[in-house]
Amino acid sequence: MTTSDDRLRAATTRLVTAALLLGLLCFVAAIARGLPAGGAVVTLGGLPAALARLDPSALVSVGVLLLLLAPLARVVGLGAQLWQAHDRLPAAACFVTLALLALSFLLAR
Amino acid sequence: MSPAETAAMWFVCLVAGLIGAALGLGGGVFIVPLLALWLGVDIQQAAGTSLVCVLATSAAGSVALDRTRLADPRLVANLGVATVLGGVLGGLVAPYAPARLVYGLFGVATAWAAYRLVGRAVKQQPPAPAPGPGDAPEPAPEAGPVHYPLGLAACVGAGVASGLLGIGGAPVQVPVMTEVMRVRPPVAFATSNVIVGITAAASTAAYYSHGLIRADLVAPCALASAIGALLGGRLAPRLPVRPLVAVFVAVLVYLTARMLWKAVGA
Repeated sequence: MTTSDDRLRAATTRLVTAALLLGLLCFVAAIARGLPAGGAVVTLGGLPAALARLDPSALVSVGVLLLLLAPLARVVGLGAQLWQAHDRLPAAACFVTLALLALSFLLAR
Repeated sequence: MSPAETAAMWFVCLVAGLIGAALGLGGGVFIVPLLALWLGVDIQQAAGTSLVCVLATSAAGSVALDRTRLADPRLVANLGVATVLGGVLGGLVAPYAPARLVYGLFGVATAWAAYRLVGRAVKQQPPAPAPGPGDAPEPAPEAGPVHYPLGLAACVGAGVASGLLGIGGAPVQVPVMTEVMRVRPPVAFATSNVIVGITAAASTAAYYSHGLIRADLVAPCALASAIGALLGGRLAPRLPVRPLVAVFVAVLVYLTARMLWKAVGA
């Protein structure tokens, strides 16, 4: 394994860990604030206003979005790792995956 | 929710994360029935909530497995496209799928998961335990994976199931990799752990946008699942696999019956 490969792997692990821990921290904060029974997470449109009020459902929403960053970081890191190793086809597959993930958000809105 | 129900929810999600990391089964097959059957949550909301738990357990598990370097990056990249495509499709359809159809398909999924566990026990082969953080990477296989087109097609199906049912897809991906593509079990397990998180992300967007993720459930469930996954990664080498398999097969058979009963409208 090359040193730059090790650095990429380490950076990816750090990003995934950060996304996971920050997401879980938002959940802890929301539970501490007190979650209303039966409510859905606040969607993107209403998020800024709800966060300004420290709405617990908005905190959960931010936590969900942060958790979504973990697999995104994984795919980006993997694509960079494979590209660096001149594995062009699997690297291209990673970028297609990122495009599909972006599409899933666009189609869902 | 009563204190007893809250405590039970935390416990089940902790165990779901733990066995997901330890047995490669996936926590979604337990979390969705817990929420839908026991707590009376709408099945689509249960699936959406479960997908966030899958995100959390996959991230926690993959961080623990990173040190082993067992996940095959090319397999993750190639199979990941297929499962994400399936996940996008499943997530788009899920908010409109009839509840009874989802119950019925879920019953099939839990039956399949039970069959996988029984099959291994009958062959005197306990499920490959999750590689621990201290495990040294095994030598690379002599030949690469085979039957790629079949593996890709199966992964699209696993992605659709993930999006529709709120499960990770590991009970499909791992046997596809080991038995169809001839990938070594520890590599298949580690690779699947990464792929399920990417797949769950694809379908979560649809559930999120349709307001199908319950804030009051997802926060404690995802927390407990992630803690369970971290514990499972550490405890896996020491867990008595066969007795655990027997217990979870019994639970899965029970859940299959309940889900199919709901599907027929009872």
